Amino acid sequence: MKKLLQSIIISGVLLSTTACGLEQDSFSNDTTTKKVASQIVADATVNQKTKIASMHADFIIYDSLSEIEKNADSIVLAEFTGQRQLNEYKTAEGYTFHQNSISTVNILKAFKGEIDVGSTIQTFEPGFFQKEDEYVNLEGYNLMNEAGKYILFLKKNEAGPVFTIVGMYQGKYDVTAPNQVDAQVNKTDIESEYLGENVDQFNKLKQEVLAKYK
Amino acid sequence: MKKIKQVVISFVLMTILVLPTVVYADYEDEHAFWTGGFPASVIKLADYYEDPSVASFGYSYWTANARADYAGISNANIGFTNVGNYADAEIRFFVVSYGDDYGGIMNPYTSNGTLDVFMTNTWAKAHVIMNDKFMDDNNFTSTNRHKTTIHELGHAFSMRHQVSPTISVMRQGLLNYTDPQPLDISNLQWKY
Repeated sequence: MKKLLQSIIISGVLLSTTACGLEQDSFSNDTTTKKVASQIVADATVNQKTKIASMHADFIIYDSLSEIEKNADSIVLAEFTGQRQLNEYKTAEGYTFHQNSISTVNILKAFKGEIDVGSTIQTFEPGFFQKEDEYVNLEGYNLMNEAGKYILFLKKNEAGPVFTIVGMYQGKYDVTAPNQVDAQVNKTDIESEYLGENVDQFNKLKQEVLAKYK
Repeated sequence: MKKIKQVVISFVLMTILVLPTVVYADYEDEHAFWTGGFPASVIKLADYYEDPSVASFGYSYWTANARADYAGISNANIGFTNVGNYADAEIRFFVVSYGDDYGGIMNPYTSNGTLDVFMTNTWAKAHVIMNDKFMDDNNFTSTNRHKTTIHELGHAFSMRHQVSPTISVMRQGLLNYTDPQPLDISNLQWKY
């Protein structure tokens, strides 16, 4: 009995130490500590020195491709034309209170919806360059580039012609980049397709997309 | 063999006892907040402004209720005053309906007008933004919209997200909390 109690105590100490470590790990993953930029620009050159600032939003986290498909008015394969502009939300007095990007894409294939193949459309993207070497985004979204070809899940907007990408990072997948996102480096690697915390979820969704849309 | 059996049994027992606390933890006190934010002297009586979009999209009740809920927390110095204009306000409220696919965001700014993306600096201003189209698209009820509003205002107090299954208005997603929960209250009492 005495030996059993001793074993329980030792096991408890070992497990408690592990638990504290896990709690510390989950806490330290939540926020970053990089410096803030000071200038807003519409265009920038992406390189390995680009700082990445991923801000958080309240949004839907999708468990499956079918949920994203259900919420999309259109599903297309598209390529970014290189045309992008900083989009600023302004008050009536002209004060800017929020920013994102509007990007132009050519439609290569259409799987759902009314967008014509061969047409050119615009989409909002939840990311922009606050200065030339600092990229600000929502929830790890990375901007489209001209080398990629993207399966896009899009919602139309009654308020205007620009489309919205469903679930932000969850509605854009580069079919020319088949490798999985690496959670060890993606938050600091501007070349990574996804810059956020939900790497397992993103990789799982991407595999589903690649299997279904070619 | 008998000793090995005892060790295994004791390990299993301890796992059962300890594991539930390993899976998740409520963020309390300093762990519930970003290091950046408004000074306490600002939060004590924050100047606020509501863009006309708040009323035009029908969010006035929820923004007013959210402010009243936070200001009503006992033993927490939180208050608001309506300054009626954008320039003088520290906390500004907006509603949008044409843009990215999120329900709400809070954008904090330093005194030089820079977006404090890493939540580590002293804030001079904060924009609390709700997205009406997102909420329509995802069939948000009145209660869900109310929760989103109080959640986003909670970020203006530097409150971080809490994770499931913690009971808190600071959890993300389609939830029904319309008032600060006990954990939120105790955290704000600690901070302010």
